[in-house]
Formats: sequence, C-alpha cells, structure tokens
Amino acid sequence: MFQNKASLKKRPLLIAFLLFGLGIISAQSLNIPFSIIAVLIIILFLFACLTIAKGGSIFLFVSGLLILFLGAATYINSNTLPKDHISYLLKSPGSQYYIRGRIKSEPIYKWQRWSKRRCSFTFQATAYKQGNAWLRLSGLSKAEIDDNEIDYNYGDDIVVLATLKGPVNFSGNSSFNYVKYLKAKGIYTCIDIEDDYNVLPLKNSAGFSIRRPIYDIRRVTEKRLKLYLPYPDNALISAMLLASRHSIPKRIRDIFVKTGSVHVLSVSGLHVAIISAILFFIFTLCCVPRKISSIVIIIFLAGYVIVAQERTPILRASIMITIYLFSYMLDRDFDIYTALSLAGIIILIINPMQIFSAGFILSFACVFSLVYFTPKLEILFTRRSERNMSVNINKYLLRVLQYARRVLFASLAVFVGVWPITAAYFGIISPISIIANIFIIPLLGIILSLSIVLVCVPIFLQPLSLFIAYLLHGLLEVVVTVLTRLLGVPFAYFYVFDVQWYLIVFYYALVYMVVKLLSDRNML
Amino acid sequence: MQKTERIAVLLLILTLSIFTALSFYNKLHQSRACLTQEESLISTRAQQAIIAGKRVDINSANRYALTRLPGIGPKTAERIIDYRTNNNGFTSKEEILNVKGIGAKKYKAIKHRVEVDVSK
Repeated sequence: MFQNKASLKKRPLLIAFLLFGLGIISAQSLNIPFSIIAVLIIILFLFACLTIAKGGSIFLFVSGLLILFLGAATYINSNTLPKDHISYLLKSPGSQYYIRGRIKSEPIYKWQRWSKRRCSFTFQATAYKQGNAWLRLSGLSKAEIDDNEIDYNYGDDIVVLATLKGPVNFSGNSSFNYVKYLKAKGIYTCIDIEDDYNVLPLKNSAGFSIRRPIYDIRRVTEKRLKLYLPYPDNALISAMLLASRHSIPKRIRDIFVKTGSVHVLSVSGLHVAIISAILFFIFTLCCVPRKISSIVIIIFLAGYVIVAQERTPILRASIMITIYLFSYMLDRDFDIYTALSLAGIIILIINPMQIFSAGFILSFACVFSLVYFTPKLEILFTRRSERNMSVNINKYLLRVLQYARRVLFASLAVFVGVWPITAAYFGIISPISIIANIFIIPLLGIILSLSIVLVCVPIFLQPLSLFIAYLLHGLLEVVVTVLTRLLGVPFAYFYVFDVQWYLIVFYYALVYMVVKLLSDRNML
Repeated sequence: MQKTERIAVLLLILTLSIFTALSFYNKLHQSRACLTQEESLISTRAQQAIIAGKRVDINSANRYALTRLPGIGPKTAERIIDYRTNNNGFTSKEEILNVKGIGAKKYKAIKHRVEVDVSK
C-alpha cells in the first residue's frame, strides 16, 4: 500500500490522521501555548486561501501543516480544564462536599479485610452544593465507596457526600504510572465515600435522557444471563456481550491473557462486526430491505456503544461499520484505510489523550495489521502447487481448509503487527495466540449468536432458553479447556521487561524493509 | 485534488478550528452556573435524605431518633434508652445486642447506621 505514492494520494484521510496524531504528540512534548498555535493556524489558513486556486503541492503542504497544528490545538484544549471542573475543588483537599453526578463505568466490587466490600467506579460530576445553592460541575472522578453493601449500576444518577483528593501513584510498581493512566481517561480527582449511607440514588432525575432506556436494557440483559447461566459462565458472556469484565475469576482471566486471546473478553471491533453480521443476517432472513436494515444497524450500533461503556475499540468499529453501511447505501466504494483513519480522527477529536492509551493503540494496530499483512502473507505462502492440489480435494473440505488458512494468516498478521505493543504495555509475548485465535474466533461467532438468542428469547419459552444455556456452558467449557491445554505448549508465552521504544521503532522499520524487499522482487 | 475538494478541506479545517477556539475560550471564561430550580430541588431532597440517613449515636439519641433505625420500634427504642441509663451508656456498637429485642439479624441491619460516642 505504501510502496507507491499514488495509493497514498488516494487516501488523504490516512495522511490527515497521521498528521493529526503527530500534532497531539508534539503538543504533549513541546508544551506550546494555545495562543501561538492559534496565530499559526490563522496565518496558515490565510496562506492556504491564497493558494486554493492553484492547488498543487504547496496547498497540500499548507493543509498538512494546518491539520498538524489543529491536532496540537485539540490536545491543548482538552488539557485545559473548564472553570467548573471538579479538580478545582481540590484547592482544599480533604473537604467534604455533596456532589451530584452519574456512574460512568461498570462498578467494580472487591472484598477487603473484615468481610468489607469496596466499590469503585468512574463518576461524572454534574453539580455540587455550595452554601444553599447547587452549582454546576463537570469532569470525571474515580469514586470509591469504602464500606459497600448495595449494588450500583452503570448509568445511575446519584448524590454523594464525599471527600475529595488527588490521584496517587502506586508504590512498588515503577513502570506503571497510575496518575498518567487516569489522566488519559480524563480523570484528575478521586472521591472517597465512607459508606452506602452517603450515597443516594436519584429515582426521578429531571429531564429525559436517551441513555436511560439503554442502561435499562443492559441491566435486563445482565439479569437474564445470571438467571440462565451458572457462574463463571454468566461473567464470561457478560464480558463478551456487555464489556463487563469485573466478575471474571482471576484464574480464567489469566488463561486468556497468557494465550493472547483476552480481546475476546473485552468487547472489541471483532464483537461489533460479528453482532452486526448477525443482525444483517436476521434482517435478510426477514426480507427487510437492505437500506432499511442498514439504518437500523447504525442506530443499534449507536446504542451498543453506550451499552458497552463507550470503549475505544467499540467506538472505532462502530464508526467503521457505519461508514461501510453509508457507502453501501450511497453506492460508493468502501476503503478500509480511509474508514480506519476517519474513525481515528473522530476519536482523537473527542479525546486526544486516547492516543497515549493502550486500548487505542492496540485497536488501531490490530486492524491495520489485519488489513495490511493478511493479503501479503496469503500471497507469500500460497504456492502454485497448493493451488493445483486443491482441484483434487472435496469441495466442502476445500472450503474448510481455505477458511482455516485465512484465519491462520489473519491471526499471524495480527501477531506480527501487535506483539511489540503488548510487550511494551503489558510485558508479555504470546506466540501461542496465533493458534489460540484460530480456534477461538470461529467459536466466538457461535457464542455471541447463542447469547443474543438467549437474551432475546421470551420468558415463556424457558425450555429453549435452558437448552441454549446448556449449549453455551458446553462451548465455554471447551474454550477454557483448550486454552488451558495450549498454555502447556513449550514457549507458549513469556514475560519481557522494560521494552525500549527505540527497539519497537527498529522492529517496525525492519518489517517495512522486508515487505518492500519482497514487493520489489514481485513476491508480494 | 479538485477546487471544490480543496474548498471542502479548508471549510472543514476552519470549522474544527473555530470549534476548538470557542471551546478553549469558553473554558477560560465561563462562570459557575446554578442548577435549574427543579434539579436543585431534587438534589436538595437527596442531600436531606443522606443527612437523615446518617449514623445515630446510641449514647445520646432520643427515642424519636432511634426509631428511625430499621427494625427499631418505640418499645425497642425505650429499651435501648433504659439499657444505657442503667449501664452508664454503651461502650461499643456490639453491646446493643444485650438489649432485649435486638438479635444478630437486626444488628446486621443497623450496624452501619449506629455509632457510639463514649465521650457523651
């Protein structure tokens, strides 16, 4: 793709995405004031207006610079906190405030000593009490209820009596910076809530929120999964369908992490694609016109992003599928690199800090590797002799073999592109992930389909629900057993420490050179 | 790139730039706004409910305050007051289990809502 300039010219959004990202990274490291960036943007804009008639390379260069500075401006803007931001209340740390807001993440419950339970979640502050007035407040906080017995839900509106404090780094672990991690998520403060008696859920919030019915659907889905599936099956399905990972046992989570298949447990682009495909299939069966089914899927995806806690991979996949469906409806060509770039630009405009998060980098690196390397690997490893041999094989067997080969190349492509990132962020390399994903990805489609049927089957068709639950239990048992066996393979995974960034850059440069060399010899 | 495409690119950049600049200006110059009357009322009610639901000091609470605890009626409240009068007050929360009518189940329900202030 990048071997000739013509293909790059066809994808201006890809260049725009790279420049926008570069602008954000530069602004973070150079610490330039917003006013200077604004002046530069005005000058460049005027210059671009002067060259608009001629066009050519000067216009392209100036436009590129404009996008670069726009990225920098977006970063500075996102790091400038509004005057009603909750972090300004930190001027008097340790003070108690009555704060109103919303639970913005799935609450996580952890048992402490003396049979005490602690509940933590991300809290979106909306107002606080000062004197007799309730003043508007904005910003996210990490909230913790120390002595917790009541279960809260994602999306609950609550009023709390809380103590404010700044986030503190963990002692002992030198590589992980908790303050930076929270900052990338837009969290600058922590709030401590003594117990449940200092929390009051609001039943009748003022105004209508489109999110409320969506949160209700999520709650009903979780209840149904708990009703029909035993633990930890319900926890695994909740993670795959609703991105609710907190109740998965550590032992099972470790199996998925070490085999490089943990992406299955957090709703990713793959899940969104599978669910969209299932919906499309159902609509086709029901003879719904394709354009109408496309619109319904787009609306569904918007809701699903909220249900799955607005995580970056889901947002990315939803934007890409929406672009695909729009291009289909408008009879336009779909280019996956352009869609990926547009998704990236949208996500970075919403939150430029995402560029530093592992979720964003992995999500984009995975899709890029998949799209870029898979066809190249297929060409490289598919020999003519194999093509000739395929004539003698049974038609169905041939299809199965072709499918298996495609999944193998896809899995290999993702590993080639992503292993340095997992090594740098999580300190683990899992070569076994190539085999694990060949096995798990086809099964994921079946598991998700059955889960959706289980959730949607009416309550009076209990025998059918029980049958599906039984099937799901069996499939999950198979998945966990096979992954456990794969862990026993020599060199299935290994830990690495302090992976330097220059080594990663060197690796990618090497991969690029190999691809270029093979392309020059007409092998790709 | 055609002229219309170039104009579209510049308009898009202009829109994003204006949006970013306005957002930045707004952040620097906005003042703390009050909630609407309806929202303030809901929030104040919630605040009052938190205050009302806060812990009750069993060494100083009157009969009315004690009856606000879950499962404690006027009779049990009277027994609690009798007990603390006869025993120079409670020294720990668990001591409330000695009061007739309060078993392990009832204690579990109220333990987070009571406190013992020995100084009073």
